[in-house]
Amino acid sequence: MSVHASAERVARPRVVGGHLERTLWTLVPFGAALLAGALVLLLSGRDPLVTYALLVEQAFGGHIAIGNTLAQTTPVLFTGLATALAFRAGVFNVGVEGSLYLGAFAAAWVGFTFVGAPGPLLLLGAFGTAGLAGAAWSFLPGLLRARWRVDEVVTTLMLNFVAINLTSYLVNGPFLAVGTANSMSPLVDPAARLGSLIPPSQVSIGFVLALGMALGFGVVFGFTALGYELRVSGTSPRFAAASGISIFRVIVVAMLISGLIAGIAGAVQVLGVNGRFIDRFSPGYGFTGIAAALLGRNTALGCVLAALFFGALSNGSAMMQLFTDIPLDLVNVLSGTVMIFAVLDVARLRPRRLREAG
Amino acid sequence: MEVLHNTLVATALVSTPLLLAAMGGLINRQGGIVNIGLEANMLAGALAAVLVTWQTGNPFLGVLAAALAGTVIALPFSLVITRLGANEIIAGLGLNVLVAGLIGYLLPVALGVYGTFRPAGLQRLPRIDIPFVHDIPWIGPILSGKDPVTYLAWLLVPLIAAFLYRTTPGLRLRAAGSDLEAARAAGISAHRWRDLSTVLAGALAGIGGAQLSIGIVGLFGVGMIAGRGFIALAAFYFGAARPWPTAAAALLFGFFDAAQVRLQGQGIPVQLVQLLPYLVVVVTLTVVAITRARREGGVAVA
Amino acid sequence: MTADIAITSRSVPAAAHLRLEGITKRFGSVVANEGVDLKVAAGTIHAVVGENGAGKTTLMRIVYGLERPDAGSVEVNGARVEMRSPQVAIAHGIGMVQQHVQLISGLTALENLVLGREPSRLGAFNAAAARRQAGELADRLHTRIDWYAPVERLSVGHRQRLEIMRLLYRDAGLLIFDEPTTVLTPGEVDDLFAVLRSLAADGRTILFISHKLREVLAIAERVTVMRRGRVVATVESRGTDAGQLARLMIGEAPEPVRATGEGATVARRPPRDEAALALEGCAVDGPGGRRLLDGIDLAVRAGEIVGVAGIEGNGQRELIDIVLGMRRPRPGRVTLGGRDVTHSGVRARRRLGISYIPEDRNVEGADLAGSISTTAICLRYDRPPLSRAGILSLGSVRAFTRGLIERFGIVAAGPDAPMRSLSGGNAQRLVVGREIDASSRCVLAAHPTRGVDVKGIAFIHEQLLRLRGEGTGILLISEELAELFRLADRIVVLYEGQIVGEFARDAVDIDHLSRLMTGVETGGAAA
Repeated sequence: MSVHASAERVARPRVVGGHLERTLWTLVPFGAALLAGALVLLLSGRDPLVTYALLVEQAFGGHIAIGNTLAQTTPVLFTGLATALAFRAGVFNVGVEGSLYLGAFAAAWVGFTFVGAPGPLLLLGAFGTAGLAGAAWSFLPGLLRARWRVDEVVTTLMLNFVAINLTSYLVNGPFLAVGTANSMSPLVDPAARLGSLIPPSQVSIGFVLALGMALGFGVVFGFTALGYELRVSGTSPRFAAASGISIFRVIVVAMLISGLIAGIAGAVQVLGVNGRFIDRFSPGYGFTGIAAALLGRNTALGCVLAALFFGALSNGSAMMQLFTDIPLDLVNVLSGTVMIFAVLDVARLRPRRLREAG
Repeated sequence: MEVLHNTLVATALVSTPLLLAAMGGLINRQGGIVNIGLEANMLAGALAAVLVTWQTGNPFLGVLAAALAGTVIALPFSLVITRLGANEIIAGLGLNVLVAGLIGYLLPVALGVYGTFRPAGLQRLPRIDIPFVHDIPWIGPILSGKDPVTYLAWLLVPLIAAFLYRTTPGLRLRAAGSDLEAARAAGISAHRWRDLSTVLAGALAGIGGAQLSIGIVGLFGVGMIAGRGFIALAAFYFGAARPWPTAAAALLFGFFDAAQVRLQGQGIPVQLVQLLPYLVVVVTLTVVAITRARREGGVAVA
Repeated sequence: MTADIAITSRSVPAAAHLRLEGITKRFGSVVANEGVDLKVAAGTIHAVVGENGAGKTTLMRIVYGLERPDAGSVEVNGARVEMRSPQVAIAHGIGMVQQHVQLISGLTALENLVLGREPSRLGAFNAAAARRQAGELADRLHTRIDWYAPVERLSVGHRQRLEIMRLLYRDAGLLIFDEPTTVLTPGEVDDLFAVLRSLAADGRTILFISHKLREVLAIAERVTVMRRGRVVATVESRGTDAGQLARLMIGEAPEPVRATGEGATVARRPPRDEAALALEGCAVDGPGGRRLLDGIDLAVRAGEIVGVAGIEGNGQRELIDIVLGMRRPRPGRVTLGGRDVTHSGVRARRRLGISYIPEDRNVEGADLAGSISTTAICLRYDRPPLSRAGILSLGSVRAFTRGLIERFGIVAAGPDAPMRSLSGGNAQRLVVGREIDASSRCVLAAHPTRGVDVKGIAFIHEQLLRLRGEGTGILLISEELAELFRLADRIVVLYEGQIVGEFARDAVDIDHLSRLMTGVETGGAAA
């Protein structure tokens, strides 16, 4: 089907021009987003520069602000890495949001079920179960794609909504916390909570885990045989196949790891931020993760920077909303623009003269 | 029985946004683009309908404005895909985020309200009884007493089928969607037909949003589309982009929608009903793919 | 179908319907056409023959406006025309049935027929009128088509017939057929020829591209032979025979290398008796149940080079796939060094010592998005010394790549330089070096010197001969007869998925070989 033909470009962004030019093109979606935001601000009668400056101040002014920015960065970094890993391997996984929900619920379940268990064991169990749940959730579309060529774009997209509704059922039905009217699970054992990194801000040591994950991501792609297989299968599948790499295995493994990272993201939200599973807790971290992966060109460092961008934006505008009347939705204007501009065929944007020379 | 009847009475009404968006998505799919941005078109349509109806007092102008709003969003979206080679899936997801952000941002700035806009005295789409049908016991209320957009939506199903399969533009649109290069070789401006299909999808999804805002609930809420664009996507995937099966899927999913409200407190978990449309699509795609693999025999070794 | 129309004899050559002068077309450094002149008389069937890569298809794409020539002119009915696009060609009454069918799936046969010029009334598609015209066209071609079936359900022959009808529907006077018979069964070929004859009898001009000489002689009145982008000769088909055409098409037989020249540096030991690679009764089915490979029995002994001669598209790809393990033969058995590997995957076979020099190094031989190392290590990245417990040792990776670079004289900035930065010849050296470095029991070489310069060719030939001397079995698939003669101990001929002949090194009959390759003569021949 037509969707798939373009998946390749997601795995391997079009390369044009020299080194400097390539770097500049990487910044196009970023610039377009800021421009779109500026237009919207102008439209609402505000000075974009002043607003952006305020935004930066709210996001980075002082250690609490920075802590809160990092708290917002954490889930996006995880989901960005999860997405980037699949994209690098040539698998179009847009189902990170679903794995995130499953992982979050699994972590919460371990946390409120095995109350009283030793802390480290509880944490390990919660993270392990969350990773497994996330991986299991993405295994199915991976298998379907690898074995029967069922388009993973549609299946992963649809399974997001299945996951959101399924976990919603679980916390409204069997696992609704006693004494709460709202749809949430019981609180997890305090021993399973992640400590704060910069008190009293919201950032937990989950952020360190996310950074570790980014480091791991870089190590896998830079220094391991598995990373080599994923990378080569993503950019040159026929070369990989002729070299003896099993594309079937690559697809399944990439989906499993991608789901695992997303599951852990869910665990960090539960154990580090909310303390329980809350129905529909994610404001679309999985989808912002796609934007982060695209903006970060599917690299570890790129994802860190992009996630930081979205984290700062999200925290900065949340703070700004408190004492100005600039709505939080500005974030979405920017991240939507990033997504659209990140997938343009940049070669077609180049002036004709450059295009013919290059 | 009472619950079933109530559900069926509501079904036609709540199916309409799904039906319109799904038919739009179907045309777009036939025109070669998988439209993930239906949600955005619906949201814009819902808002435009409320605003124009509020200002003019005429809900039909509101519907027209919704179609226009859907179109205005769909055209640049289509151009980005057809002329600038953007990946339609990511661009569609991006469009949803962008439009939701724009509306969420501008609503408080322009109208001073957060989240929900409910102007006083907002006209709603009238409900029309069909003569004779209305008087049939039990069946009557199920079919009759709906708003004009609902009737229009159902009228559109055969019209769209006729357009696609019985007219020259429909033929060219399908040709452009099926094989861009071959269509161009046959002397057809394939990109333009693709763009047209996206614009039609935008207009139809926009009207679907209007029916939701000024037909059913009588207000605008930033979260009111609530995944209906994706259910519409599920519907035309389930219906393999053919008009009648897609309409049937929209009706079925509308039935789920109507049922879940009435099942609250009846022991059947709402959420499990809500996830059905999405699950149905995954199962359908899988069955289709496995059948295809069986038919083609020799599976390639990876 | 029973159209018994004889070739209308024309004593006086009619006016030129199409005239090409000095057509030259380059793709990068590759010259596809050079100074091609061609004159096609109106109302005749004119064939253009040549091996793959001789430039036939490019020339036809230029005529149909799909490519623009770098130099030269196209004249239609005496008037010069700038063929900017297919639309221009169509407007001048030119139609083309391309190798790959241009029908649109999902649309019915009838819709495909009229697309772009639909009979309609106020926008409504007038299916009745379309159906009537379709019926008339079908009658003219003595054929029946289920007009309301989606095209993908039609047989290949019917699809092609439908394409012809599309051209007639648009009233094309000059019809180009690019290798129309490759996808057809023999019965369908006969039907097609009857159609072509009746079209010519109607006064239409037919340009027929092929490399199957028997067919060309059966259908065409005049034959133009192309070789390496140039026109070698144009002859009346009555005044020639297949042998002469084959010789023109393939060129003079090169001198096989005896125990002198380049090969002499390596002693030619007789091959050993053990089989390095053996295929037994292998078959591969394509879509629609067509046999792409059939009853292949082929053994390559250790220390032997077996050449596979044949024009591309006769089963070479499938042969590669079943040897390498990308596809399973059904039925059939593949053994490697006596071990049954029929059900082993690519990796297992690679481990058992099969090397692969692919036909397109950019697709199957290298990762253009990565570094030189990325391409260099693909067979060894998962074992010591390059990696231990799944961790790559970047030092070893670089050292390994540097080793290849030095040993095979590759001009490169270093192991970490982008693969793209290598020139074509150096890239091929890297790929060949990597493959033969890996202690090969058997080498599968597909067109190893295609697009490689003279120096590169010498390098590759030298390596293959060295390996042969060391006891490696080599299966060499090539269209270059010169290459096969130089290297191979034995040559088998692949034609339409079957081995139709075998020649010992010293008993090659070039005429016979050419006739087998081009299908003039079939089956059962052995030297």
